Amino acid sequence: MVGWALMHRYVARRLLGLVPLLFGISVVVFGLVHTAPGGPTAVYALGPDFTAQQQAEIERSLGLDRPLPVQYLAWVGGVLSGSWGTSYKDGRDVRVVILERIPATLTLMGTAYALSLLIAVPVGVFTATRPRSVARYVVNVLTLLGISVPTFWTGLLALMVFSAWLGLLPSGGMYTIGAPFSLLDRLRYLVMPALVLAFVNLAMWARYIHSSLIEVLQEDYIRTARAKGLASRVVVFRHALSNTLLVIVTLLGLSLPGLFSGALVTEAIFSWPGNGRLIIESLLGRNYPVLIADFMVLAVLAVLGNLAADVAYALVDPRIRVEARG
Amino acid sequence: MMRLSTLLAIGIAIVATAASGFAQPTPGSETPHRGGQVVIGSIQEPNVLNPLLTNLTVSQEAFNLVLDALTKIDDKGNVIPFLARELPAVSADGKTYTYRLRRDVRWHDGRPFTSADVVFTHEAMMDPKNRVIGRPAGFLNVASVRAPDAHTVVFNLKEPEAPWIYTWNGLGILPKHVLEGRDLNTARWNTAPTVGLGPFKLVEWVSGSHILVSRNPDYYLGSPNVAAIVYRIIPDANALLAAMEKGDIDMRYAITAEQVPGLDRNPGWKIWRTPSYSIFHFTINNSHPIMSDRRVRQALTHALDKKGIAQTVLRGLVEPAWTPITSPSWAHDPAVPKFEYDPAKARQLLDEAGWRLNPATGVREKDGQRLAFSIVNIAGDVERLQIVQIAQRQWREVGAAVDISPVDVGTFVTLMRGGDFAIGYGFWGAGPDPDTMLFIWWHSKGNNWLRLRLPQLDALIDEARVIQDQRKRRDLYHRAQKLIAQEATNIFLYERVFFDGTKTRVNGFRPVAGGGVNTWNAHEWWVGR
Repeated sequence: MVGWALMHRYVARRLLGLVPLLFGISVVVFGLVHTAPGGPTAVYALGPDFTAQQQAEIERSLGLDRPLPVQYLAWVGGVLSGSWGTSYKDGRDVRVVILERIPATLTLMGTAYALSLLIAVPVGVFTATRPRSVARYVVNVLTLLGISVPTFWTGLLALMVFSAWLGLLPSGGMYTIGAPFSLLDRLRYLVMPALVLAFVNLAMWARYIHSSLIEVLQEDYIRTARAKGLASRVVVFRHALSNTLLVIVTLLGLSLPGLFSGALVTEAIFSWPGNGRLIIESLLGRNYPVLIADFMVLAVLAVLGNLAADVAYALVDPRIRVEARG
Repeated sequence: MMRLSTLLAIGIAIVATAASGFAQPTPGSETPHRGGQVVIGSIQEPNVLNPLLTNLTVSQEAFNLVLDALTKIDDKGNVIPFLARELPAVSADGKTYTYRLRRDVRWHDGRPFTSADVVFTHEAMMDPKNRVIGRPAGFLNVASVRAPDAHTVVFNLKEPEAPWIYTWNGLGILPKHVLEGRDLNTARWNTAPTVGLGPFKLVEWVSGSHILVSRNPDYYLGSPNVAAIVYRIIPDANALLAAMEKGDIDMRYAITAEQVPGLDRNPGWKIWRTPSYSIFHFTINNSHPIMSDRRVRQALTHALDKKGIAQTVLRGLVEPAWTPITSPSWAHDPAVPKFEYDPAKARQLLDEAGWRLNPATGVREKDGQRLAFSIVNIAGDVERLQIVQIAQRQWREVGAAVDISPVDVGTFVTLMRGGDFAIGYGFWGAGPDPDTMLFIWWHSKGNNWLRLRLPQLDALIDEARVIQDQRKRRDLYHRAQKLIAQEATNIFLYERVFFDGTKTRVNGFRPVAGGGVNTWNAHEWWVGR
């Protein structure tokens, strides 16, 4: 195929473009994080024995008394030599601090995305093919709810009903503490946060799939297919739905950073030890090394996600071809 | 319509549930049951379990389970020996403290605990390379430390200091054989103190989730009753409440006033009320152009309805306060001058001070300057904001133009230290000895956020600090409190009260006097079957 050589060059060019982009992002992130008021020792400052002098000594020891550009260059130097620094909170290697949160976050977000997709596709198809049915309005209302109701509300409601009142599911956490590993146990802890998150995504995704399918269903070739006397099921699933793949691919590509960043609110409500909570805690505690490293990782993933979606377009849709320039 | 049979079935179910409720054996039998676990629910997660590198209460709660201290404070406020065999012997001049250590104590790895560990902990505390946060002020008064034998430690002080006995109180001892020669700032032990001296041993700390400890059968005060303790992190206050309702949590410390009434009605929970040594108050910059006039400070006190705030915002759970030495302390003076709520008196005092009301604006003026200032408040806490808003309204009513400036903790502390404020709202914490509160916050050599110039007060605090006789000290502290109240150096609002909750099946819980680190006697806890 002619496309492959072009594709390689295209990907290489995009990857090369990553370097200045990430450099720019790092400057912005570093600057923003450091200009936020307060500092990493502020959480201790209300302790009566913690003096201004002690605080100044600690800040000097962390190198925070140097001018910002100097600190930035020191940070870049560290990263280029493979060191992301140590967490101000507990002195551990930043890579360990972030990596230990990734499995929890991937499990939760992966499940939530998979559930969303599994439900959003049939729902989108259903509503697009039955534009005037009652069921469609019901689904519409539900998806609107999913988009507009915040997760801290649905999450707490789920927690109160299924955990506190009915006692069916655990009140947060990832597994029964102290018990040996059991898949069933993990699922019991996973189901509520995953569904609460899926509800939001699924609502959004179902709407995208719905409108994309509506558009496709009005195309000439669909009318032709129908005119040939093909069954409606075949028309929708074989001819129309494959064209909405583009939408799904886009959604998945854009979701890549979300898989790792986790869900800030949902993780807090279900005391899920994921990366979202690490980001919030690092933000509140002004834990600069963790915060900056985490943001950089997410930036890379966002860029890669977009790239992957672009590449997948070309693979999925024969009408789209990448060009080496332009 | 519901069928009769269904209704009957529901009725039977209700009766059955009620009956089984009555059939439950009542907990609280005398012999402690051994086994089971206690789950402590916490909103905040500890940062490290190294006592030198933290001053967070949550960290202290957790490290108290796995580490141990020379002495601790009990629920009555007494200092009691733990790793020390008895309370330290104090020399006649008050400058030498000698601790004799227990000989039957071993680290969790089996190595004996000796005086070398205490000396090592002292040296680590004073080492400028270490990013020490939790250093009690008493360490700065130590001239020398020596260990004449493996079970004796002698501290020589620069100056006599009666409250010095609290310096090592509740301070976890570090294992010299694990930490010597390592960088204390990044040591693995800080987050994985598997070698400790405490009644429990660390099993795991899963960041963001929980800390799990299991009992140390060789604990020198006897093997603890409960088999394991889980310190569970639930960062959302409402989610934590749901977990408590479900029955997944056995203990929760420092419950907010908002959640106390609901839990108090819950028969499964017991709420413990512990008055503390800390005080909520308005910090006044006594050198501020407006606030330097004592009559203005007294007028603002008269204008504030402390009782009303206690009854509404704080749901009647606290009492108004008039002095910084709170009621649980032996030095508390209930007879200080009180400028009770009286807006008319407040207006009169402001008139006397030369602040005349401008009827056009409703704001008082003096020499062309308006009686205008702002209250600095740490943002993010609803209760605090409500209190500050009430003060704003009540001070406006007597002719002051008041606004609120919300800041983060770091900015708050910077403003207070720099004296760049008129009034700030917050609480000051202190230890059980009245000296900690008065020296740190009122002495000109302390933190001095108040910007005071009261040599008479300095002299009283200095004198009371060096004598050991508690009756004489009390007289001096009473005089100091009367002076503080008369000068209206601050506007005291209420004594901080801790509300801790335990499930009724938990026994042996005794909240520490003054509130705070409640895990001090975790080896005595036990759970009903």
